[in-house]
Amino acid sequence: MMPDIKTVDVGFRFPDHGPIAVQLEDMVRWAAASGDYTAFHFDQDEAEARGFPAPVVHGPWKAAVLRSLVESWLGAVNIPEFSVRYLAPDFVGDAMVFGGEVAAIEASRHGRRIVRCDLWATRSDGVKTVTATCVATTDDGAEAATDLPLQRVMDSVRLGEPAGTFVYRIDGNDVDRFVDAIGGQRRTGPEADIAPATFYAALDPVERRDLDLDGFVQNLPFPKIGGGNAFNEVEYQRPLRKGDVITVTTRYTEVYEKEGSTGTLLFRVRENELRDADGELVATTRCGHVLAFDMAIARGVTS
Amino acid sequence: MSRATDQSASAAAVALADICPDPLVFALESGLPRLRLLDRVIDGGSDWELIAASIPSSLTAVSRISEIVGRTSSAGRRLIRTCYETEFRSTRGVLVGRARGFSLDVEGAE
Repeated sequence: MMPDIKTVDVGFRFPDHGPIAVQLEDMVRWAAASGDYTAFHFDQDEAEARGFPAPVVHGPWKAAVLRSLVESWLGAVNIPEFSVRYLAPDFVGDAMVFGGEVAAIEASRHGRRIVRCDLWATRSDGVKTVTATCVATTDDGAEAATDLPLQRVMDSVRLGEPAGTFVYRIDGNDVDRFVDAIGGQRRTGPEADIAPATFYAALDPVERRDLDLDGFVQNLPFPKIGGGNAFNEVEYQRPLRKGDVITVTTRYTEVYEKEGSTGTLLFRVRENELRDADGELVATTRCGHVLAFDMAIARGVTS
Repeated sequence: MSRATDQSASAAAVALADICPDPLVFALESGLPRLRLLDRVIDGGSDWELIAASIPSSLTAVSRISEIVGRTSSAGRRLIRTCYETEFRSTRGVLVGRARGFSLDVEGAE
């Protein structure tokens, strides 16, 4: 029994489709459907004049066949991404074989199964003329059109993995200017070199613009209605001091959404691990950032 | 170049590739020029990316040449890849998807 998108495994090779000999009629129909009336796709003389033995099969026709096969192989699916490269020409009358296999399987946060496929077409001399990649997902409505794409947001911030490591030297002037900026009093005496507890926030690579993984969320196709820092926390082993050389490793630890009174809230939480020149842990800070989206407006997409 | 499309089929059943079966031809039909920079011009590939999970009944399509990149093939031929990109937006301006068609100019291929 042929597996479907809910049961197929990585490495599964779909049954070949073909060999099928492309007919001139197919190309004429495709020309009408796509608007590509370039004559060498259906005119023998024109093809020969361009150095081909027979009319050349439209590349997007081959893409359409592969896409249709994915739907027949996997059952009811959405195909949000399909990418195809035309490597060599195929000719009308020649026998083509279309094939594919499952390259990877992932699960979205909303329970959708995401199946990545590698696809191809070969002609009768064995030359691979087309390669394609495709992302197919279960078509069960689990992740509506207007849901935030949390899995892709997680991927964009490399959730759970080190997103970047930065080294900062704390100069005396840095601490003094920071204290002045927050209206504090510069310390004197034996504690003169100790930075205030709030200074940990000054070593956040994101706030310092040394680390920027915002590109994906800032370009989400939903109306943004607000955003900013949601919280900052610090747990420290010892104070920061003037002259410290601190290595900061940033890692995003959480991506989640909540319904707020003003809209759908997307939270991203990052954690900074601060270590001194001896590799000793100095502090761990956590920062939450929120973006608010008006999904009611976004639902206009489907109206 | 921009155009408005209107489709009456069930939105859920329609894919971007149904509206735009050949991204290169689709972009050229909007009035963009087909660049002919070297000896032969061929189709290099096509991409479809659906950002919204379904497609609204009315779309505005805006096509542009988004990239022109030159390189040399392993056989020493010059190649130039031109990307014709079309963005599809809802009537509210929300991005629904993109389609890209790639035109390849090849040196000495005749």
